Amino acid sequence: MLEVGDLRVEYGGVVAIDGVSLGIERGEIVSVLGPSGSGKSTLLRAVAGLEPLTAGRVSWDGADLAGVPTHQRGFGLMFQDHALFPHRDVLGNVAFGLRMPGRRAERRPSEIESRSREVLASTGLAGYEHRNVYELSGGEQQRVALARALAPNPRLLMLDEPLGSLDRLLRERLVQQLRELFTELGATVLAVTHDHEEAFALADRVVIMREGGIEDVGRADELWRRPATRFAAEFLGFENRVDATVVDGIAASPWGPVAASSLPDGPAVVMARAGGFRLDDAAALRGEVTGRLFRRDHFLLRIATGHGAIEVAVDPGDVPPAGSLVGVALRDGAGLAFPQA
Amino acid sequence: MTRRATRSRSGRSRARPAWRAVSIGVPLAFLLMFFVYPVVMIMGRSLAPHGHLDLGAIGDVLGDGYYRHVAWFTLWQAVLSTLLTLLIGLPVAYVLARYDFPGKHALRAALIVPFVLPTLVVGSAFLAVLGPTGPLRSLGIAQGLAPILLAHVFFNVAVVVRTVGGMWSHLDPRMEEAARVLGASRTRAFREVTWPILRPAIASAASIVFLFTFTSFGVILVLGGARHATLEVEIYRQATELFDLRVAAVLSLLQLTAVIAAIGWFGRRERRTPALRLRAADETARRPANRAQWFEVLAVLTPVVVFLATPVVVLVARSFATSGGPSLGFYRALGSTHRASSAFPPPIDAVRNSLVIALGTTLIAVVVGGLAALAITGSRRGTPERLLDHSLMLPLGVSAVTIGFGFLVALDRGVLDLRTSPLILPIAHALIAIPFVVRVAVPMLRSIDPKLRDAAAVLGAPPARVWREIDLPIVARAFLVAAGFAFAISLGEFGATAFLARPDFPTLPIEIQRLLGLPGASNFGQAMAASTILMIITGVAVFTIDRFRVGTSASF
Repeated sequence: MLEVGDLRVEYGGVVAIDGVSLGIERGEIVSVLGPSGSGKSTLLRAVAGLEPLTAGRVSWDGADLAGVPTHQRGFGLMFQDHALFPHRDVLGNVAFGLRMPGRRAERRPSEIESRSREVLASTGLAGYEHRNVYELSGGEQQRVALARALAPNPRLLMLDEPLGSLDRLLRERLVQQLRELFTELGATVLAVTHDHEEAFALADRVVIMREGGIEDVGRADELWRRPATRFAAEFLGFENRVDATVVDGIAASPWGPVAASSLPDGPAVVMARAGGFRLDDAAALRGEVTGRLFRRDHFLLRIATGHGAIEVAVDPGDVPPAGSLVGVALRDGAGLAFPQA
Repeated sequence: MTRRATRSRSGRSRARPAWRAVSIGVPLAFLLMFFVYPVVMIMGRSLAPHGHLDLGAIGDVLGDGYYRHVAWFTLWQAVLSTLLTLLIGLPVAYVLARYDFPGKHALRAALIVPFVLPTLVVGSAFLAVLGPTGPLRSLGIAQGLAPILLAHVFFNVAVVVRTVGGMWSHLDPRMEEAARVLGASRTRAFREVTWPILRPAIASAASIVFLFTFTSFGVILVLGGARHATLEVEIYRQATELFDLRVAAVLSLLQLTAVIAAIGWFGRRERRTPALRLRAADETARRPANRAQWFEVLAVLTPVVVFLATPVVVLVARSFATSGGPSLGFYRALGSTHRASSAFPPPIDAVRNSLVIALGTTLIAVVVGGLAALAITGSRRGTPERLLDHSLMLPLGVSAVTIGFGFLVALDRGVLDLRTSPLILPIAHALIAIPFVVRVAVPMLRSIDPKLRDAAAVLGAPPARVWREIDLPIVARAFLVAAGFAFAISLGEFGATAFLARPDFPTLPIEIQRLLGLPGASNFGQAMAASTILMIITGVAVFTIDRFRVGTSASF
């Protein structure tokens, strides 16, 4: 397994990573999610040995990797923008890692070629062997980059914004295929991205990074439903917020009571996603619909309540028109309470 | 207005036949008269000295061991110079491409200074350092192969750094990192990924350096001493000292053939890797992250900066080093005639002469070259324009010495007897300068986005107004920059001038050469002073150029 302990990386006077600790088990897929500048790409580069560490350690199965140069670590890294070699064809790119002296002995040319073809086929690119890489579409280039990283059987595969340069529909399709491939191969994967959907669809566990440190970490579905910090919640789409007061472990808010067992008595903030509300004529909270936005599989209603505006997701079937008065209720468990500021 | 005229893309009606005739005809006529004709005459002298084809002259020359030795020396000093320049220039290119540090831009700009210095200035500077009165005289390499190689590297490091470095700074470092993650050590990653992609740029730089050093003249003359001669120097000696024009002609032919062969050989290696995804230069450069990287930067740059700065510093210092302590003595001495030679004008006249000739050159070069540039970038791109484009580059391949020699041989009859005309030097210099004028002006003219003209037209500007508002500012700039180039080239020109200058009307490089050839500390000091003056004037001209250039990336 990979272990990152108290990692600190500084360059040019900027602290890119500030005390990050993380462990990845064999066969686990971990996503690191964060806005630009959060240090996530630097984390990959530090693990790969491309960035010198200011402090902390990176180890694999207990063995410290300090002093082990990049080309001897046996990791795979798929770069943002792919970084394919333009002077070699697709097969030449994929076979590159197999030609290098590695922890395994150098293979015979015939083995190298057959293994390369095999990996290309598993990424759906059979027949592309002798194409020029700069003639390929974005999706095809991404798969060549993936095949190239996978071919030498790395013990850890790292991905830097793997679907970044592709359009949205392609992204949604490919993230599914990637997860299936990784699960089938039993690969250990560390993927870095700024895209929520990509991170949660791909991973077993998700890490949220912010300004060089880890904000929150957890199993994908748990983290999605219950982020632990206010920043993480905002980042994951908890866009509605309202002031509340905590008494005896319950936050009383205009939207209703919300569990807040870890918070002291006093002021708090309650947050919820658009999908955390439903329309309910019997609800205590009432407001006026001031706007409607079509969002393919739901409508987003902007509702002005006595305690500020909220956004509520509604099924397309029965959408109240603008100007109508509606009742809004918070679904069970959809509200989260956080300390103020 | 006919429909065709309104659909003309740029709104200019440049395709008018009268304009076409002038803009193509004038440059072509100039080329024919002052380049093709002299070269043909040279060939005539060597292949048919008595009016009928007679290859005997060629046989005589090639059969003579001395000339074969000269040819061989020319070749292998050029090869050695090229290799040494690459050896020193590539690490500098790497450091400047991959690292960002304070003063980097100033350093890159300063690196081009050696390249634009006139050859005589460089020769003087190295003599100042390595000669009998210089700080490194104990090395004992004042003349011969060693100082020649050093001077060549001094000149040409800038070519490698700019050409290869320019390409390198646009390469995505992540390709090399990808190779390293896949298991390649740093050296292997360089070999497998960076080198194949850089190779065309390196071949391009190597070809330029080879051609410059193969046709090197001023440096060899000053630093080579009596025993070392290249083809250029030998042509000069044969023509002006031994008056054997036949041998000089054969040697010129040999020179031409070698240059054409070299261009062909290198041309094959310059094919570029297609469709590279290039990154902006400032994205790929990083500040050195630790001691080891800072060490890399300093270890490479310090010796090179010292190497490049020392000759210039010593030159200037020596120009002030009179026997009574630092003073302007040598500069003042330039204003008076040497006691014994009343036939020679005071050296300071050479400054005035050089400036006058440079002005004349600039006028001719800008007019002829400018017409050509406008023709090439005009809306019509037919065969005559393409012919002009390619043939204008020819004088670049022929050395200045050959041009001077060609003038001597060809311009001696009737209307074209310009040997005693004051125009001969400006014309010769213009011939050398025109390819640069065109090469500089064309990209700048091409940078005018035709959509800007369309936008102006839609906003209501008539064609003449469009030209005035959109084209003229850029055209004016392009011509200013081209003029600066022509001026600087003329100031420092020595090869052709050595053939054509009259004793009573020397240019500054000629004067420097004469002073270097005279014995005595005073003459040497005056040579240093004159070189410093030439260096300063050239520097001012080049500095002015750079301020006005509209950027192009990797080419000069």
